[in-house]
Order: sequence, then structure tokens, then C-alpha cells
Amino acid sequence: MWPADDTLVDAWAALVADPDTAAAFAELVLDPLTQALAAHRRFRFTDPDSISDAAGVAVLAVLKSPTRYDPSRSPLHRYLEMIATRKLLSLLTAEKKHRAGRIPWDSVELDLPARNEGAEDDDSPSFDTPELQAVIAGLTVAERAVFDLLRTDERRTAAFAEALGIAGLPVPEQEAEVKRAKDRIKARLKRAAGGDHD
Amino acid sequence: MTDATLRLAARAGVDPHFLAFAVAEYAAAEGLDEPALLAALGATPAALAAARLCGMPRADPAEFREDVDRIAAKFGLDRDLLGMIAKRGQVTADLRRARDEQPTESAAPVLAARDRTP
Repeated sequence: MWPADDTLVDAWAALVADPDTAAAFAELVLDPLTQALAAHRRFRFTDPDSISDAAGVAVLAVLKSPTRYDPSRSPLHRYLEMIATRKLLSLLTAEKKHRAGRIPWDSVELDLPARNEGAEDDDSPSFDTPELQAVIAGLTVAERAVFDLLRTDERRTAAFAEALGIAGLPVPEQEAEVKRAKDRIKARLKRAAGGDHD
Repeated sequence: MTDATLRLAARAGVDPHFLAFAVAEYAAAEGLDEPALLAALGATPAALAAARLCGMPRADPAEFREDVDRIAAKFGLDRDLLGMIAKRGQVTADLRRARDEQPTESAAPVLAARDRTP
């Protein structure tokens, strides 16, 4: 939980006046910033290390150039959250590109239409054939959420369990249910793409 | 001091703006792990973390001495060793900056070759 605005501004003012108070400033804001990011709906499935990294970047940025912050424009916690959010989105985008290059949708094992070849600026497969679009349109809300997670190369069972609304089940049951849901969606897509005629 | 702040202070070692950079360079050059570094500087983990998050001492000799004296006194570190660490850190940062500003040897022939029409 963030300290009161006055406390934060006082710490910032102390930092501007005496840069040797950097550790005290970091001690005051680092944990609340990390917690605020972790609680953000946008980052609920983001791994804690990435969140800590982004919070650290934001705090170091303020320690390095404290006068860039203008207290008349926004509360200090908003300013820190803004820097950290930008960094986190940047980290996630880079990670997504890295994973897409390393594991290019292999897990779905689709036989993709040949016309997608040469799409050099997009390293994820296209699902815009009428057959695949029909399958996607027929997914339930929960299945659609699972499909979206698959497209982002999400690997964590917890994320899929949350999407399926089974986060309250014991982990082994979650794993089994998540696998069934993924397999079901992949099989339908594969069949529609012409890769499986069973 | 929280573990998160201790980690942040160590992480600042990649940025020459912070004294942490000089400390990290010194520890790497001397092969010192964290306990050895703490022993050499006569510091507690919290004091060293606080020092790491300070800015690198200013370059002017008088200001450099003033900054080192102040940081050493405030956080209870060995002043002479801190001064030596900071000086080495500044030299390392300057060398890297100079190196980064120079074009690489391999870049020139490639650029020349590209300029030539077939």
C-alpha cells in the first residue's frame, strides 16, 4: 500500500536536496510500487521477476533524475507507476517476440495455409481463413480465453485455470482440465486447417 | 532494509551514474564476493546498499574528495578504499564511454564495400 502523498513528496524533496537519501527513498517506494503493479489487472498473469524488474527501473530512474518529476502535475506514485508500466509493457513485448521466434506456435501443431509464407513482419500464424475463423467464432467465452492465451505462448497452468474459471480446483485437476481444454481447441483448429482428418 | 532494496542497489551496478557501478567493477576486478566486499569496506549490507545508490563522486578533485568523505562518513565505510574504488570506477566508465563513441574497426570496410556500386 502506498504511503500518504505528503510522505512521498517529502521523501522526494529530501532526495532532491540530498541524493545520499536514495536508499531511504527506494525503501519507501519499491515495495508499494511492486505491489501496485502486481495488483494491476493488466499484469495479473505477469511473472513476479518481470514486475520487480520494472519497479526497479522506475525507482532507479527517479533516483537518477529526481527533478524530472514535477509534483504539480501528478502524485509521485502515479509517476512511478507510469514509468514502471511502460517498462513492463516493453519487457513483455520483447519477451513475446522472443518466445514467438523460439517457439513459433509449435504447440498447436497446425498445418498452416501456404499463403502465410513470406509474412516476414509477423512471426505468429494467421487464423484468418474462413475455416479457422468459423472454429474461433464457435468457441465458448472460456475457450476463447484459452485460445487467446495460447496465441501469446502463455505456459502457466494458473493463467489457463483462471481463464477457465477453475482456479479453485486442486492443481492436479486444474492441470488435467487445462490440458483437455487446450487439446480440444487445438484438435478443432487442426481439423479445420486440414491437418487432421480423424 | 528490505531484500528488494538490497537487490536494487546491486542492480544499479550496471549504470555508471551510481557509485554501485564502481563497487561492482572493483569487486569483479578483485574477485570479491559480497561478504569479502563488506569486510574490505567495513560495511554492513544496509550501509553498502545505501552507498551503492549514491551518485558517483564528482570528477573535480576537490569535489571528488568531498563526496567520498561525505559518503564514507555517512555510511561508515573505509574512506581510502572507497576513494580508490570510486576513482577506478570513474576511469572504467570514461574508458567505456570513449570506446563506445568510436566506430568499430570492422564497421569501416563494410560501409566502404556497401558504398561501392557493382
